Amino acid sequence: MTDTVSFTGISKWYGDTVALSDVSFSIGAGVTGLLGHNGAGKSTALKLCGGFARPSAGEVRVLGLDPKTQPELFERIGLVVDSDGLWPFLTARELVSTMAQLRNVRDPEAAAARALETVDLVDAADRPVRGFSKGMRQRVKLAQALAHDPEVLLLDEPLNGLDPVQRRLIVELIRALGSEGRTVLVSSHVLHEVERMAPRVVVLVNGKLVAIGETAGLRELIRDRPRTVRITSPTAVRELARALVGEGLASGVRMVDDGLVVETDDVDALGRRLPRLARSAGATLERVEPLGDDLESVYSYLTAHARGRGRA
Amino acid sequence: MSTVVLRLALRRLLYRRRTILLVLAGLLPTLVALLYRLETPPPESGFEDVMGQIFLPYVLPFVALVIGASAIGEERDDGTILYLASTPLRRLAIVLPLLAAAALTTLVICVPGFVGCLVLAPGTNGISTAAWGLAAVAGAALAYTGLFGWLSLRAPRPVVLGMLYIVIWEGSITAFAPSARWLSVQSYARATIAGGLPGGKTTLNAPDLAPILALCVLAAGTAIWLLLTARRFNRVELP
Repeated sequence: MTDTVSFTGISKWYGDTVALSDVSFSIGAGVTGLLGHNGAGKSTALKLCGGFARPSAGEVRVLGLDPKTQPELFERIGLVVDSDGLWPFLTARELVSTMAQLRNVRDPEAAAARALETVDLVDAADRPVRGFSKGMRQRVKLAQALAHDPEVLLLDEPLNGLDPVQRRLIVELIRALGSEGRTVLVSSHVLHEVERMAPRVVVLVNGKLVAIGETAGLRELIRDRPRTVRITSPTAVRELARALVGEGLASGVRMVDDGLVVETDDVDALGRRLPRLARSAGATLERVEPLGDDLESVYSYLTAHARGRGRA
Repeated sequence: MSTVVLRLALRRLLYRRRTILLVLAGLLPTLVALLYRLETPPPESGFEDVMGQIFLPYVLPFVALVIGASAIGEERDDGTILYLASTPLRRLAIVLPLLAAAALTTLVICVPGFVGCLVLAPGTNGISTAAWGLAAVAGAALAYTGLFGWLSLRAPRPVVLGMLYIVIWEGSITAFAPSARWLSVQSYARATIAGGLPGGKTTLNAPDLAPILALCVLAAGTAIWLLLTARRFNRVELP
């Protein structure tokens, strides 16, 4: 795999705030997810790729070029930025064709028509963008990034504001762009969204790279971590707790008002065997829910994991 | 220069509700010139009075300030600057049409007021007044928009700073400290316009400088601010 986007020892700080700290990775053709919670450094990483900011240390290269000093690069890359700003007086068609023209496309009108069709915005193409919803604006942003047929796409939260139908369309589009051999770096803070689009993932936590590799591997890593599950049952709670510990499914059990909070190393086995155990213990299962399954705790685990065992 | 960016910037600057207010402000000197014309007998120094006390110290710089500061500032605040920055254009090639659009818009707003003055106010010297006057307005519009465009990338409150420059530096300090006039756009505009008015240097309180030289200083100032703006744009972090 030839590297098209590479970060070498990148650090970026704003006064006392460290946005990225010694981040190094490289990606090639296909879709790569850039995963991290808000403030993890995803947008800063994409800003550096777009040449909108200068790294405090290290080197960013896109297609072997420095995006800050070699603007000719922008004929070959497409960007969707996080900001919602678009020239409000332009129609979607004018905006996309203007951007295509600025990126030296031979027939900008035709390119704009193609791009707008790709993002399913033909019906609204001749309306000024000032009246567009968030989802429509996202699609205009995507269309302008596609109009010049770029080799590399840098997409900052492209699914924000889209309804489920549009979301599916754009996810399919991003996957298709990746399978055409383009390099697509797409940021998101939603793990399952990234899973649907990207076979590879780069995970940032508080400006640090904590995991890079196959998305499936990341999922395994997350699945392997100790989990906390809350079991709500009005009856036979003690018997159920005893059975769970006895079967080796719980490494720790805590009684709460309406049931149990169980620590487990094998959440899949717990899920499979819990109904039978509950039946034999005489407990009635009203609700079973994982606790601490939010991304923050996943990232915390990955951070600890990265510290303890090296990168995934 | 990218005509695409120029057209985009002109549309942005002209298709605004505030443009109507600025156009009305730009026509204020014409109204005053009309009042001069209606006086009997009309005062001989009517044109010089309106130019020297209304048009050059207030109307032109304030219009240039609002337009010049928003040419780059609004693109930056709205985030649309990112789209311009993600094109193969060099930063100078982005800044140049943005500031050119600001200067053109300033001229579109201010020239009708100047022409109205020229036609209505007494005390003009025909074609010579018109030629030097237009040159002064164009030169000052370019210099002011360059200065205020640069300021919009340098300072968090460019309009406030610009107003302080216009009111305190140009409007007050240069009046009692003649050496301060060498750092005043308005003074060079006065020197240029005086070229078309016999005795205009005195009545317009213009520095002792040949009009063509004053025009060259305005052009040089514009070029310097353009380069400084491009340099700043290259260094500044985009939102």
